[in-house]
Amino acid sequence: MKTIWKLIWKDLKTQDFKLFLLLPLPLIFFYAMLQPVWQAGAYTIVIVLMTYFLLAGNNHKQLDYKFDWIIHSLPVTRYEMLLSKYAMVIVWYILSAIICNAIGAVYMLYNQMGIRLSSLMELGLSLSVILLISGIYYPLYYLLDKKFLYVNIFLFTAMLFAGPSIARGIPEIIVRFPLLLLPISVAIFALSYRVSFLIFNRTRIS
Amino acid sequence: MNILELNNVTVTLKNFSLRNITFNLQRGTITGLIGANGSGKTTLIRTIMNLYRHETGSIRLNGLDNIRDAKWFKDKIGFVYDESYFIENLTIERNKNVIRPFYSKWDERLFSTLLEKFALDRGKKVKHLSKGMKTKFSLAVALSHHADLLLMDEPTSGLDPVFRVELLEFIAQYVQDHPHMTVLFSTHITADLDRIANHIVYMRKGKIRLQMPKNDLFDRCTVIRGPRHAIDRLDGLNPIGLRQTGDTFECLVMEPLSAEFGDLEYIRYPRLRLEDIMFYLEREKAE
Repeated sequence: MKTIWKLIWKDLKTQDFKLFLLLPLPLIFFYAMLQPVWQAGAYTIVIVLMTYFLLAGNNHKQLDYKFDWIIHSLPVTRYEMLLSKYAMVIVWYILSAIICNAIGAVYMLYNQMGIRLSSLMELGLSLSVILLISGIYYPLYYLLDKKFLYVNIFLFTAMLFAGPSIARGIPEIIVRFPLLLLPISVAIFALSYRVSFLIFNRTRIS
Repeated sequence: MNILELNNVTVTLKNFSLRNITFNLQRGTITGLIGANGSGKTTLIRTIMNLYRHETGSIRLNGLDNIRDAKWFKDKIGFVYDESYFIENLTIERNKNVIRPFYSKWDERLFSTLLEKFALDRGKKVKHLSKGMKTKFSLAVALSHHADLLLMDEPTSGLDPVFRVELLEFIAQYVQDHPHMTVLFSTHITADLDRIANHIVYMRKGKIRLQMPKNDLFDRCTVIRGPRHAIDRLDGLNPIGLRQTGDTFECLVMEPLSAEFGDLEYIRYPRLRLEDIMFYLEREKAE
C-alpha cells in the first residue's frame, strides 16, 4: 500500500499543473455561453473534461519522456503500477472538482450570477462518467501504448464537442437514474482494471 | 560467489529472440557484454529488469527471482540506460525526489557527494544537461541506494573520449572501493572494456557465444597471419574468421598453440585487443 501512495505522489509531482490550471478557464467560458445549460449540467461536463485532461496528460507526458522506463526499473511491481493508475482517476477527479468549483464560483461572482457550487448529484454523475471513460481508456492505453495518443486526441475532441448536447440531457439523466449510474460505472471500472491487468502483465515496455 | 544467475532464459520479441541464455555474474566483478548491434545486449538487460518478460528459464539476484520477487530484486539494482529517461522539464532535485522514496536504502549523503563529484547542479533542469551530464546523473541515482548490481546499457555511447575515460575510471575506482558491487556493462565500444572489465560475455544473434574471464580470453586468443601456402599449419587449430586475400591469410585461434612456425606472424595481448577478437568472431558469422 505504501508503494501505491508513492506512485500517486509521483504522478502528482510530475503533473504540469501550470498548464492544467489554465484549462478550466476556457472550458467554463465555453459552457457558460450556454446559460440555461450551465445551471444544470455544465459542472458535470467541465469536471469530466478536466479530470480526463489531467489523467491523460500525465500519462502521455510520462510515455513521451519514456519516464515509465524509469518507473518500471524501480522497486515496484506491475500490479502496484496499475493499481496506482486506477487510484489516480479518483485523485484527479477530486482535484478537478475542487478546481472547477473554485473557478466556477469566481466566474459567477464576477458576472454577478450568484455563487452556485456543483450539487451532490452533479458530482456523483461526473464521477460515474469519468469512471466509465477511464474504464475504456486504460485497457486501450495499455494495449496501444504510444499509438493511443492519436486515439486520445480524437476522444478528447469528441468529448469537447459532444459536451453541450450531453449537458442538455444531464438534468433528465439525474432525475431518471439518480442511483443507477454510479454502481454500473464502478462495476465497469473494476472490470476494466482486470482487463488492463491481463494486458499489462504481458506487455513489454517499449 | 554468484550474484546474478540467468538460467536457460528465452525471450521472444516481434523480430528477434534471445535463446537459452545461461550465465552467472560473480560478486565484485565488472562484466562486459559485447556484440554487434542487434546481437541482443539491450534485450538481455531489459529482460533482467523485467521490462521484457522471459518465457522460459529464471533470472535470480542473490536468490531473488526477477518476477516473483520483482520489488526486492529491483531494490538491489542500479541502472543506467543508453538514454536519459528522466522528466526533462523537471530539475535534477525534483527528478530525484520522485525516485528516492521507492528505494529502501537511499543514501542522500552519497547522492550529494556524487553530484558534487560530477559537478551537477541540483537546480538545473534535465533538458539543459549535456548527454554526458545526463549519464552522470543516471549514475548518481543508480549508485545512491547501495545497489548490489549496477546494470549499464551502452552508457558511454555518444560521449566524447575525455568524458568516457573519466566515467570508466570512476566506475573502476568505485567497484574497487565497494567490493559488494558487481557491474554488468553492455557496449559495442570494446575499448571501454579493455580498460575496466574482468569478465567478457559475447553475444551474437540472441545467443551467448562466449563467456570467460578477460585474462583467460587474452591468454587463449592469437591472431595468426601468414603466407597462403602455409595455411596447412592451421590443421587441427579450428581457425575463426579465416580470410584469404591474395597471397596471405589471417585468422583467430582460441586454443593453446602446440608449436609456432617462423613463417607465420602471431599477434597476442597486448597487441591483440578485444576489438580484434570481436572482429574475427563477427567475421565468422558473416562467413
